[in-house]
Amino acid sequence: MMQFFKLAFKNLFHRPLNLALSLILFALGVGLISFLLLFNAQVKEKFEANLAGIDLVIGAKGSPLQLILCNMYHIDNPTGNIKIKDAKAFLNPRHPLLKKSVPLSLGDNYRSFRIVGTNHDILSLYGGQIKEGSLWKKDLEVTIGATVARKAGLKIGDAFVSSHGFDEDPDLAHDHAKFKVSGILKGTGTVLDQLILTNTASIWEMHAHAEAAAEDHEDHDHSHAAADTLDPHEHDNSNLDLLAHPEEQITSILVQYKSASNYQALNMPRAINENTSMQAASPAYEINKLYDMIGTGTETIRYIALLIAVVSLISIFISLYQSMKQRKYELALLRVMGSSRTGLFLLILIEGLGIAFLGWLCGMVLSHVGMSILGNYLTEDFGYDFQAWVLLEEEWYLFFIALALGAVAALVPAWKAANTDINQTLGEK
Amino acid sequence: MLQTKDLTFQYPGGHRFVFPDLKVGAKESMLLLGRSGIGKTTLLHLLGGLMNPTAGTILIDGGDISQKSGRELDRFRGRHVGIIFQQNHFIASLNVLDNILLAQTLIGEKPDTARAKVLLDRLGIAAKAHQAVNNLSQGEKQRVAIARAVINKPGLILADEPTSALDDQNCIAVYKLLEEQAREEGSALVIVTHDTRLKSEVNHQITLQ
Repeated sequence: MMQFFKLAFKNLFHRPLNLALSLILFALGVGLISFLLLFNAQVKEKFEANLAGIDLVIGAKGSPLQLILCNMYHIDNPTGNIKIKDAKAFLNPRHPLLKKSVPLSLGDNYRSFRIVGTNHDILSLYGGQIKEGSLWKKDLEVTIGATVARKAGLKIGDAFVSSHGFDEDPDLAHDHAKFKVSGILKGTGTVLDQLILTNTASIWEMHAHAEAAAEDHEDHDHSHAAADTLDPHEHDNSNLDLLAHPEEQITSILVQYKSASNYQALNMPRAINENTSMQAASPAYEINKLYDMIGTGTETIRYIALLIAVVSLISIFISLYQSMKQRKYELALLRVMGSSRTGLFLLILIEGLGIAFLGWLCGMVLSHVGMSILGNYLTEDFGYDFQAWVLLEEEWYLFFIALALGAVAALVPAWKAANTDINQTLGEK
Repeated sequence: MLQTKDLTFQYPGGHRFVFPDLKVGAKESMLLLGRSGIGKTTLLHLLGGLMNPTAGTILIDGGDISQKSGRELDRFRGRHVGIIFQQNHFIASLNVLDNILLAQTLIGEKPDTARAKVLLDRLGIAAKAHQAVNNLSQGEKQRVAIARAVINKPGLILADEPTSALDDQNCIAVYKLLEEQAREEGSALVIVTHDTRLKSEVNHQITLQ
């Protein structure tokens, strides 16, 4: 048996170009499928980890998917802002249906990390815990996620200036007020790691400054006019404090029901969408819609991958069949030297399995290197970390499927080889 | 050693060959002569265990090869018969040494590299041990084929037209080489040929009629 392994691999590498062609095709098929598995699994994982038990997102009217992507996954721009007076029912701590309502105010960032004005309840949604320092208390104090601390290199006590929107544009820097880091959170594996948390009033203050600064350029007499309109008192983090500023704006509210099966709770989104100037979107529903959209794309790629797999099957078959024909005399010789029919069958079978195994190996390297490249790109663009060097259970299935393909491709050539007519072959000379 | 009795082969719906009884002892040589189509190749394949006779017995090293079939015959052939074909074919992906050792591993024996090197040395091609077989000259290839045929110390060495493509001088040299190696390994040597130049070299001759 061992001698056939050695011989089979020597035979494969004896014709490197043929081997390369078969390997490239096979690796491409395996690589694409494994890449899809890897990518889908991780996207799904990211989306699910960040569902965080949020039942509803309430925000400005627009695309519901955008509302979810923006406020839960922080990978899109806000649909707009809502006035506190419009949303006050949902900020009321005594609302009979709501367990938690977490207000979010977006709009600023530091080095592409979002600064979110919110309350301390956001930590309980994602299981966030303080690692160093303390949670934000006063205006302009921030608590930063683990990824932010690592990548932006911020430490407790550091001060920084934010810029507007998601882009890092120095011209848009709000150069008046400085944020100060009061605490750093433990890593959670959720989107929380990428956020800079502060109270809602800090965001208002920032934009009051920005408007004031803009006016400064136009009219120097009105310096800091807008900033002065803001209440000078200290803000705490409660929703009640928000309710005391009905004319101010927030971006959205993340809502957790007391009971998701409550009849009134089920009717709430429709009531909001029909009767108010706001919209309510269900994360689970929108994310499923998104899966469906991604699904159509990945399905197309999956069919292409299957097509490549079939082509590579044929290529292995042709390659083995051809080499088997060319080596007819060699096969007869092996029989003369004492090899059985089964031996020849095994030899060709091992050659097929060898191509499949090497092809699987190359495909795996291809998909994981690809994932690592795409992962870097995605991390840069969306802040999500992707793992390239994990092996999914499905990839092991792929291993056995690959070997099965190799065996199927080798079956006919192996059978032909086993039935080589020694006398006739040797008689041809 | 080799001994045959009442050997007959009937091609399905075709020729029927009846062969004379043969007897060749260890370290002895025999010449099998005859014109084309008289059944020389058929007899070679019968003696080599590449096909079974219709009737009769073939004893090699005391085992009756005519009664064996399937895997048993494959093993027996690999173990007890060494064949040198007119065209020297090898496994192209293996080097000279591995081609010789393959004759051992295919019958389930441990490859004896030392012995293979001794054989190559005796045949004067030790320097070629790690070369690709396709890079060798015809003469060198024939020597590798001889080494491969004798590595298992077979009871019978069969050579099919080993000299017909050679000039007079080389013809005798190759015969001497074969005879020497067979004697060294204690094998019976049967040369199937129509090369009449060998007649003066070998006393024991049988001409197929």
